[in-house]
Amino acid sequence: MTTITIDGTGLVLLARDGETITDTIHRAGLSLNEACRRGGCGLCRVQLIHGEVEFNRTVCEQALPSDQREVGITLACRAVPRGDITIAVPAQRLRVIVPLLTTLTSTPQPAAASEGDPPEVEVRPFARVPVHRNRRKEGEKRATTRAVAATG
Amino acid sequence: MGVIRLGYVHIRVTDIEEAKRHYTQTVGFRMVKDDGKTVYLKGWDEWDHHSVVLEEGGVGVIKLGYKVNRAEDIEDIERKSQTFGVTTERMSRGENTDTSDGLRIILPTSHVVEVYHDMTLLGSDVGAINPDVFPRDLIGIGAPRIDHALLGGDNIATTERFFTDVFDFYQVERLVPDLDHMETPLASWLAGGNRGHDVALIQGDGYDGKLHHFAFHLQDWNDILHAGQIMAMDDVPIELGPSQHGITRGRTIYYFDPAGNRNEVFADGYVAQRDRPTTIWTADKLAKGIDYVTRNLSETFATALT
Ligand code: FES
Ligand SMILES: [Fe+2]
Repeated sequence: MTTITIDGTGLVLLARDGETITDTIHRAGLSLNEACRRGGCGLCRVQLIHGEVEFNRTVCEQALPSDQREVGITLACRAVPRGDITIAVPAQRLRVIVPLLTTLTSTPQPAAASEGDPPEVEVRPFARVPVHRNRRKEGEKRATTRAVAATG
Repeated sequence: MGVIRLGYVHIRVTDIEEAKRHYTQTVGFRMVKDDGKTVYLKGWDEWDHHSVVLEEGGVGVIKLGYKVNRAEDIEDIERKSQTFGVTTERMSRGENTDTSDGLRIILPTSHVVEVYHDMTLLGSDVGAINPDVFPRDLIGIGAPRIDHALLGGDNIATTERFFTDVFDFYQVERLVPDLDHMETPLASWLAGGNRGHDVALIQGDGYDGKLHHFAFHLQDWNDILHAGQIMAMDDVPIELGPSQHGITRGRTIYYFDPAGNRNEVFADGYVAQRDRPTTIWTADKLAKGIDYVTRNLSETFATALT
């Protein structure tokens, strides 16, 4: 199963095949600041800090200029993960709106979300997001499985 | 009488095939010409050759066309444009398919507007002789025609004045910071005829040359809900509505086409008249002006432009 880790939030979302980052985020009861969901307005920009994505449609220069692509910024509504990825989203742009869906779709289950509170999301403007490769630690997968089992 | 109406909207789309499918199967416009990367469409109740032009490559608006009553109106607008101080150039017949000669104008907000006096007459889909009230084979929303466009601008005051001075539009509604600062428009709705507005403008940083939305006309509130139902079936992203604008009183849905350009279905509103006192909205009531019922201003209303 492909995972989307949202850096600094404790959220690891389980993505379905061919699903865009936005689709997974919605299915997880989260909302991302966005508008058109069709790759035109450029509002759903997120920073890719680990892994690879591919666009399911052509994304034009106006919606995502090449200098931003070069530093790993991508459009969540058009980007489909190719394998596990980690993204960073500034805190003010990501909200938990249906905690129930978040617990069903994410793993490991964030402690805060299980009590119905939005998880703490670290404020990280694009400019200050450090780029780490392979920052996933050994053993994280197992923690994941346990959390899922616990929610049954 | 000079400018009659917004005649065509020429926009960019990222994928022409997807756009064709959306504008014909969801909106219900008919394709009248297909040049491969550019397609021309019309609504069932429009008689001229086309009103929507889709061109592949990018997003946003390429130009708007306004139809004038007589060929002489072109010269009049050219003279007034020069006095006003905007860049113009003559265009010849056929430069736009099936469209007469005319004038191309660059607005202070950098949008391209063309005026023309004639277009190949195709006739409406119900014809002009003992017509039925609608065609039996409508697809999807079945929108009869386009309605208006809302353009962005870093500073809209001069463009607003262009529409009153050169196009002889009148000011229908206006958004200002507060009643002590009426001279600076933040947004503006202008009309040439009796429809609520033929163009609207909204101010914001980096808005020059951008499209906020263009609208399709629908008859009434029931049609707005029906449009929403079709959008649900076709998974069209909706930003606002079904609701009603306080501004213009139009019943509305804001939604996005497959390239991310914002569109609107717009119904009712009121009959505007030239001698009508301009309605003023103050910035603190913007949410009510845009979404009268919920009074919630979507966080993307002023940030998503193409
Ligand atoms: S939401 Fe508009 S580009 Fe993704
Ligand atoms: Fe509108």
